[in-house]
Amino acid sequence: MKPFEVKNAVLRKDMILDMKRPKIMIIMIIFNLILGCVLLPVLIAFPIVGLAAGEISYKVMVYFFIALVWIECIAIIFLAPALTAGCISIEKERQTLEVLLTTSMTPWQIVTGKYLSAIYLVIMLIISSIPTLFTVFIYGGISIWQMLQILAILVTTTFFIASFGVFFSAMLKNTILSVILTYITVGAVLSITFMLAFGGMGVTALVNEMITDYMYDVYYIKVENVLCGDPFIFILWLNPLVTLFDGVGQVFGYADAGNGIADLPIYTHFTDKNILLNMWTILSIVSQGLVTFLLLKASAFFLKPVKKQKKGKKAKKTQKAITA
Amino acid sequence: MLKINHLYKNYGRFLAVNDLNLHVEKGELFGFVGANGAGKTTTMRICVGLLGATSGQVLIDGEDVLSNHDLLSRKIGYVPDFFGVYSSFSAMEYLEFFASTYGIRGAEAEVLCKDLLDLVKLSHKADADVNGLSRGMKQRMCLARALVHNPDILFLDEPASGLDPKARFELKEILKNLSSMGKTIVISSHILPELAEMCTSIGIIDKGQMMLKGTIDEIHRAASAASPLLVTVDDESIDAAFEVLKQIPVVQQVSSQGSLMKVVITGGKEDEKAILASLLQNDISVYSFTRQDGSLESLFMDIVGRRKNENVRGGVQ
Repeated sequence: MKPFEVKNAVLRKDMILDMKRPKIMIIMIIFNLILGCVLLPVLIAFPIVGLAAGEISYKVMVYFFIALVWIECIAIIFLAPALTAGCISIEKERQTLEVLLTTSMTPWQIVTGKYLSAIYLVIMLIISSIPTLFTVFIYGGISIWQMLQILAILVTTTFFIASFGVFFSAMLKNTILSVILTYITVGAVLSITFMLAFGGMGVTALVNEMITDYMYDVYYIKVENVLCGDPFIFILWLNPLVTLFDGVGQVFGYADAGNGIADLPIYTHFTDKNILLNMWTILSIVSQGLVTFLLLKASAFFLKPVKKQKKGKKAKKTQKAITA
Repeated sequence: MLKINHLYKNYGRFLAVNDLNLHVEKGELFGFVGANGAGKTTTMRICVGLLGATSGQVLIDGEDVLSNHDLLSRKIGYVPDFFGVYSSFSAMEYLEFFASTYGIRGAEAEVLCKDLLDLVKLSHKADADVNGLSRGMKQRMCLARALVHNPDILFLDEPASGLDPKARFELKEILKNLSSMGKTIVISSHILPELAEMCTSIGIIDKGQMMLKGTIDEIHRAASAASPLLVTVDDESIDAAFEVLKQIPVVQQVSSQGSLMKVVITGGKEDEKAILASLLQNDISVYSFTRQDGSLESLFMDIVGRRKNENVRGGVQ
C-alpha cells in the first residue's frame, strides 16, 4: 500500500468527487473570511491600545483566542449537519446505494466511508483555520500545546455532531427531511441536556427542601440535602458546548470562576475533588465517542438489506399462513 | 450452477414469490419473463442479496448464498433496472471506483477497466462524463461495472427496457459474447419474443410462480401446441365437420372462414391424430390438417390469461 492511500473505496470516491466540485473551496473561503473579519480589527487595535495605555495585556489575546474557538465551534455545529445529513440519502436518491450494497463492501464500510468523507470536509475547515488561529502567536500568551488541546475538542465535536447527520441520512430516503431532523436533534441535544441536568438538580433541591421542612415541622429533626441531585450534571457529558467550556477552562482557566465544571458552585454533595468532575473533558469525549459509535452501528443496520432471515419452523409457519 | 429451491417471499398477506424453483446451468443465458408485478425483480433482488426471502434457498455451485454476503458479492454481478451513476465521474473513473470496492486498485484496476470498456465497446468514451452518455451506452457501462470482479453469474433486470433497436442489438451481441465466455446470465423482461432472440432457455413467471420453463426449442414447441389447428375441408362437408368436431371432448372452439376451419383444442399430438381420424371416419374430405405457427406472445398471454381465469373461478367458488 502506498503511504496515505485511502483504502475505503467510498471515502476515496467522495474525496475525488469533492475535489472536482467548488463547494468545499467556497465554504473554506467564507469560513476563513468570517474568522479574518473578527481577527483583523483586533490585531490592528491590540498594539494601538497597548501604546495608548502604556501596557500590553497578553490575557486579552487569550480571551480573543477563546472567542475565535467558540466561533469555530458554533460554525461546526451549524455546518456539520448540513454536510453530513445528506451523505447516504443522496446515494439512495441517485440509486447508487443498492449497487454499492451488492459489491464486497459491507454496510459498516459504506457508513464509515460516507461518515469520514463528510467529516473530512469539516476537518478540512478546522485545518484551514489553523493559520488564522496561529496569528495570535504574534503577540504570544498561548502555547501550541494549548491550541492543540482545544483543536482536539473541536474535532471531537465534529465527530459527534456529524454522527447524527449520518444516522438520519441512513434511516431516511429524503435528504431534506434528514437535514431538518438532524438540526432538530442536534438542537435538542444541546438544549435538552441542559434542561435535564439543571432541571433534575433543581427538582432534587426542591424535594430536599420539602423533606427538610417536613422533618423539622413534624419531628423537630434538622436534616439537609437528603437526596443527591448532583449526578444529573453528568447528562451534560453529551453536550459539546459544555465539553468546550470545561476544556477551555482546563487549558486557560476562568480567572475568578475556576477551571471549569468542577469549580461551579452548584453541587450539594460533590466536592471540587470529585474525579468524575475533574476528568470532565475526557469523560465527555468518551461518552460522545460511545454515542457516535452506536449511531454509526445503527446506521449500518439501516443499510443492511437483509436484516434477518426466518428459518426453520417459523418460516414454514409463515408460509402455511400465507398459502392458506 | 444456480439453483433456487422453494423460494417464498411475502409482503404481509401478499405473496410476491410463491414456491419458486429454478435450475440454471453454467453458461446458460436464461430469460426470466413475466408481466409487471409477476415477481421477476423480487426474485432477482433476493438472489443478489438486496432482499430477504421469507423462506427457501438460493444455491450457487451447491453453496447457499443468502446467508453469505462475501460469497454472494464474489459470485454475482447485478445490473438493476436503473443506472445509478455518479455525475462528475468519467466512465473510466466510474469503473475504477467499483473495481476498488472489490479491492482492485492502481495499475491492475486501470488495465481491467480498459478491457471492460473494450468488451462493452465503450473504449472511445473512457474519458466522457457518465451522465452525458446515451441510455444504451449507460446500460453497457453498467454491464461493465457488474463485471469488474469477474462474477460467475450476472443478473440483469430489464436491461433492454427503453433502448432503441440499435442499442438493443449491441447489448444482445455483448450478452451472447459473455455467454460464450462461460458466464451464466439471468436476464428479465416482460417481452417474451425479445428474450427468445438471445436466450438459450426461458422461464415464464406469473404471480410469483414458475409457470413454464424450458429451452428455446421447447418453448417454441409449447407455443405451437397452444395454437389452433387449421383444417381445410371440402366446401360441402363443413356442416358435417362442425358436427363431428363438436362431439370431441378436447375441442374447445371451432370457427370457419370458407373451407378453412380453426379448431382450438386442449390436447397434444395424440388428440390431433384422434381428431383427424374422426373426420376421416365420418367421410369428410380433409385437404389439409396442420397447427398454426405458434406465437410466443400468444403463449405468454395464454399462460397469464389461464391463471386469471382460474383466479376468477376460484373467487366465484
